Amino acid sequence: MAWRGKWRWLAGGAALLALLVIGRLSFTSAPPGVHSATRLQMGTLVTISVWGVADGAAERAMEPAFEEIARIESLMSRFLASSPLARLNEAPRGRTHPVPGELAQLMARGVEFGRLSRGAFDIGLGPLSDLWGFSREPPPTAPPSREALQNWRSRRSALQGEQGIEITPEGVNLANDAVGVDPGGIAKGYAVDQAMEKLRQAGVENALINAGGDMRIAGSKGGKPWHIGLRDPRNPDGVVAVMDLVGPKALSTSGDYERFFLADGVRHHHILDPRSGESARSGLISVSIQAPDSLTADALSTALFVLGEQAGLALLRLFPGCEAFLIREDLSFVQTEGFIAVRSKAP
Amino acid sequence: MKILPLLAESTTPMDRLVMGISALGIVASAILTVSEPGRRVVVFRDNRPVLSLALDRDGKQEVAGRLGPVTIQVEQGRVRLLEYQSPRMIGTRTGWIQGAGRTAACVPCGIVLRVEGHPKKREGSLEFDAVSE
Amino acid sequence: MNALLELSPLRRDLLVAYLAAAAVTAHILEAALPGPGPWFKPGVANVFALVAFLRLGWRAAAAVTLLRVLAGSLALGTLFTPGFFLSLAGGCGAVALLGILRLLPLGLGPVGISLLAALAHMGGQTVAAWLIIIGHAGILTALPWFLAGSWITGVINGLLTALLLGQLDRHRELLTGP
Repeated sequence: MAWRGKWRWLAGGAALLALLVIGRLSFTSAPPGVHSATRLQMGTLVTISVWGVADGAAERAMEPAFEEIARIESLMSRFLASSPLARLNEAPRGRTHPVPGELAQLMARGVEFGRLSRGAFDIGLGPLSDLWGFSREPPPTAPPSREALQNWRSRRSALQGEQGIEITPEGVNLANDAVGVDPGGIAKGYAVDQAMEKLRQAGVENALINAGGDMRIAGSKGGKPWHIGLRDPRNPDGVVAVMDLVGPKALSTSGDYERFFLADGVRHHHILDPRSGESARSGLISVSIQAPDSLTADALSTALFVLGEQAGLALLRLFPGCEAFLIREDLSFVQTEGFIAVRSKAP
Repeated sequence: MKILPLLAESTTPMDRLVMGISALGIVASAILTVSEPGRRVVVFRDNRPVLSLALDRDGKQEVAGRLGPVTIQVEQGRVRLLEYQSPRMIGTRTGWIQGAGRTAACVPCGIVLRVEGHPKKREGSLEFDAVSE
Repeated sequence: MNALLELSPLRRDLLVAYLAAAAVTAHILEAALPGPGPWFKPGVANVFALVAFLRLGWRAAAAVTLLRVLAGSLALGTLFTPGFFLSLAGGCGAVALLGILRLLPLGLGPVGISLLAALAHMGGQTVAAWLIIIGHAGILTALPWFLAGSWITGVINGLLTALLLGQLDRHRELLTGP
């Protein structure tokens, strides 16, 4: 009879094992939480967060997304002398210079935003940006000389209100040396969109990519929305709005507080107005755009910042599905009806 | 109720031995896990790890940034970037960082710090997944 | 003190049932205690399993423990939830340890047995938590603190077991009958 006892124990053990297996199976689908990785790319911190993916799979999915951003940076960086965009900027003016199709397509999008914004948005401000030097290290402490700015303005006025960027199937023709491509207003947004596409191809359905304020969101955190803060423009530790967003959604903010210096009591910041050649003064100090994609959000946040409240909101109406949150100089704020925010307050 | 007399009365010598040995074992394992190397911060230069510092040893360490040396300070399990002054230096703005997965950076120097480990469940619901700025 | 009772099968089963019922009650009451989760519960339910072990033998203790986990989880509606598997694994750990102690004449009293069972309980829970819920090693760094908690509750429950055994032995005639 001894074997019967043994069998009983074996059966009991098997039952327990089966229970543990059930337990194991029912909890492998349990939320593994958010995995994040941060890299320094495109002159800013790029953070990718994915939800609902196991450790190793998250790393494997993020790598191609980071690589995509690095690829785009090497294609359209102004500061890498070897990039096709830097070579375009070095090429002689007034004749067509071949550029990779992807770059030409993105520039065409930029020129289109320029047209729709009646020149408030301009991807041809490279020489002006160099003059101001907001990307320099150490950062500038004084505006460029009056003569230098005047010189830029007169060369610029020779374009008679055109953007001076001609894109043809053969390449790109820059009109004169007042024009040089600075894709800063759209490149990060484009890179974020492309990186999100890489994540999607890797099977990631829930993710957040944040490239220095250009953000794109896919899905949620297991039904819970992504919880996003909007920086208070005058208090780096505070937020003025809290958003619970579910993808697909993009969010971009342009503010006068990102890169700036004070000279003689005047705040000079990095968002330049193509019409004046100086920091945009439209009565707004911060513009946030919610849009279906990051490229649009990126471009519109810059364009609205330059245009100001009235003209900016008129431009916004041309873009269905795009909403804005504006902070005025007097620290009052306005948000469009469809702007998604759990709560918002003045700075 | 007097616990100690009760304890003395209802334990055998072997019980007391087991109590003593297991208490010693628990204390020893607690000491071992506490003094275990524990959390570290990894320093990246241009996205490549160049240095790893234990967070349980206070001190300062210089690393070469793109624009010169950057000082990394570890104190009481926290870490921060020091000395390079720039409005783009997120390091100073972030201040001390501590929790696993937290990062600080000096963008122009090409330096990023990241506290190693698996990020715990977010402490409270106040923390954002991201901040748009 | 550690003498097994000689009981008729019926009385024996009845006593197991009483002890299991008491354990289930304790299990449910403890679930209502505020706390961070299945850890850091005083584990008074284990007292009844220990009484079963010391007076009715190992099988009775195993029965009381498993009945307690199953019936308690059924009553709480936590069957097949993580908490249930933690309780089950903890119970199995304790029962396995009692099985080992049964074979070793160490001269342990209720307090020592309770202490070791509490530690085994925590060990089983930790392994289960590591396997099915958390899946990374972070939990191991917290283990000494959990074990310290188990040490204290184990000793207290051992004392409670001793008191309960004293009561039981004083009314032995109620159990063994005329």
